[in-house]
Amino acid sequence: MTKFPKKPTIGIISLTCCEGCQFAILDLGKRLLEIFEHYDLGEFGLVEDQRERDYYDIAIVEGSPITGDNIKRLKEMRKKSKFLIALGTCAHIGCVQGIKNYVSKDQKIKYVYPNIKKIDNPKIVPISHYVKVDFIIPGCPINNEEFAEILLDIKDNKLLPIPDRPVCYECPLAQAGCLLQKNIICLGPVTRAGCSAICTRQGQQCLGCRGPIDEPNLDSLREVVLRFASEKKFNHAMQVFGIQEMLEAQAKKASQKKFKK
Amino acid sequence: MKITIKHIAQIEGHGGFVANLEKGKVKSAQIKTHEGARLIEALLVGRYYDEAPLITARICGVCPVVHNLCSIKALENALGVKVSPQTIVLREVMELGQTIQSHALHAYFMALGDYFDIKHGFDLMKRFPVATLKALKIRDFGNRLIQKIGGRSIHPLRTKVGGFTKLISQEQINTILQEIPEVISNVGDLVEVYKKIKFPKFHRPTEYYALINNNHYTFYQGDTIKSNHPERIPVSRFQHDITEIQRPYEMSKRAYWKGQSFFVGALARLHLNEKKLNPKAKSVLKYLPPRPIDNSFYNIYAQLIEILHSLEEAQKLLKPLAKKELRYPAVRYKLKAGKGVGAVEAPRGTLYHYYELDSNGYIVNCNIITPTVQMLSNLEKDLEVLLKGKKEGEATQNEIKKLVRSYDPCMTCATH
Repeated sequence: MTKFPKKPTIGIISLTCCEGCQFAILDLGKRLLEIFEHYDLGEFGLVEDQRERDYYDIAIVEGSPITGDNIKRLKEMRKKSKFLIALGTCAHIGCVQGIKNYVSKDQKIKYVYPNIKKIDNPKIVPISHYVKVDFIIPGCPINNEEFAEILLDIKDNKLLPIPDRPVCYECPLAQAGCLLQKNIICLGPVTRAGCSAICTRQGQQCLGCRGPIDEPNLDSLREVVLRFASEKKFNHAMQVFGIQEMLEAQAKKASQKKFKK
Repeated sequence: MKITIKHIAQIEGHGGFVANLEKGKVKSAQIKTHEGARLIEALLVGRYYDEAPLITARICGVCPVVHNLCSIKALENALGVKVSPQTIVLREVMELGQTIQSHALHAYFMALGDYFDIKHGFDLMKRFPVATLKALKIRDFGNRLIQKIGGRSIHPLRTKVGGFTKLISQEQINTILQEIPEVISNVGDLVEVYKKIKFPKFHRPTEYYALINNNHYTFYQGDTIKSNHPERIPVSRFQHDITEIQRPYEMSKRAYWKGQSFFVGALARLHLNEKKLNPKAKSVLKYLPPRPIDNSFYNIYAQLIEILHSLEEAQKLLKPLAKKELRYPAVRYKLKAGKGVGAVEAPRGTLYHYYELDSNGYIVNCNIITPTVQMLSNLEKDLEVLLKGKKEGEATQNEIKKLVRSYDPCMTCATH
């Protein structure tokens, strides 16, 4: 892992998104002020005016690169930063705007903007499509407890990858019953944990916002789901956070690896 | 002379400002939104109805609750679902929590610095250490109200068409009730700071628009009312009066009431509902000028009054629920084809969601009109008045930013 100096400089920017991950950070309240004492804080668009820096030890980027300006800003941020973190599902995968990748985007833009002229309407891609990403803090929104721990680990130079295990691993700990057993589509078996099963414990299905585990067994999940729901419903579930493409690619990679063995 | 502000910080999302002045006369004054188009309404078409509350919550990270609930209400209207009075009360309290947290963030951390020459939100801590910690506590409490009822403060989890997946416990309601008096006294400390604010002398008469009902200062349900138009209009008719305009090069639409601009948000609600404020909120009205105020800068003070009102209201609404463990989280319903409108008061003004469903529960049409879309043209009219005879320079730029922040626009909502 990258070595960080004592009081690293840090900047947080957002591209196109709801900014909920920045709010999740703010929600740490007093703790956030304590965490930032270990950092030299540069820009943090939500709460301050003009504090841009020429160099960052750590850049945190939330949101989707949709406009030309978004892409430019993302690349600039990468250029002046040593370590870049993708924050939240938008930057990591695509999130709800990523549904667009599974429908006709030209038709969709005309629905909202009948008088369209020069409005950017690209495919929704992770920020890693444009720049190298060194670390991902996943989730929609992020788990701010996890964020706090990661920032404290960084300052102590002991940052470790987020464990590769599925949400199913956390459901029993959260005393959440299995939704698949109740014939509700749930992507928990193929989704990376770390959220303390926050959705399933409230009776809400997992829709995979934290992205796939390293070796998702998508075929077997599909088989279970198709016993009670249609293929269309299963695909729609994978599309809510725009993860279908990434999930299928990861599953394919995993099965090829298995085949080689 | 051209005035350009590339990026206005300390508002939700990315926005800028461009104005053209000739010999002191304002030729144009325009807010520019820099958010990318996410096409949320279009993406909902063809999806199953129960995805809409989840997806639309993601329109905005500062007010996800209002999008989530507004979407649910519109869908319930489309499906003919009648929810229990208990569900309505719990949703109202979630709305209050949203108002408290959003206003505490905006009126304090984002906008207060403008009046004390403090550039960075975090620097408020140095100047007002006690008040800042109290503002944090107030905001935390708003979040906690949402979290305890909705399961999570950003993008709630338990809310759904028909009610909730899981209910808040009696113990949690009692804990909340025990906390409220202290939070109310914290707001009292903030009032001491806001009393000292010298609001700019500014005057431009405008029209105020908000939801209203007979019983209380409403955030969750009511008819719409406009200050110069005493007749109440049912929410289901909003598309007759409010029209959205899309300019060819702009990602944010504009909404007009029969062609006119109007004010939405805390100051509008205060104008139209003032008599229904709770007692403690009423007691701080004395620091306001006579009504109509017609000075948009006062919106942040109106937000502070609403925080106080919301705390008192939450107390009033939760007390009767604290007596025994809650039961019956949701009602059952059948799918059918239909159309439905929902409206709620978001922290920044009236929010509308509209859905048309087919008989299998898939969305056929959808329209969402956010408060910021409604307020932008009114803000621009204010900016035109503000800029008359002004010279280019930092002072003017700061005044522009201050006025923009008074409106508390949300660019992510504007460009959904």
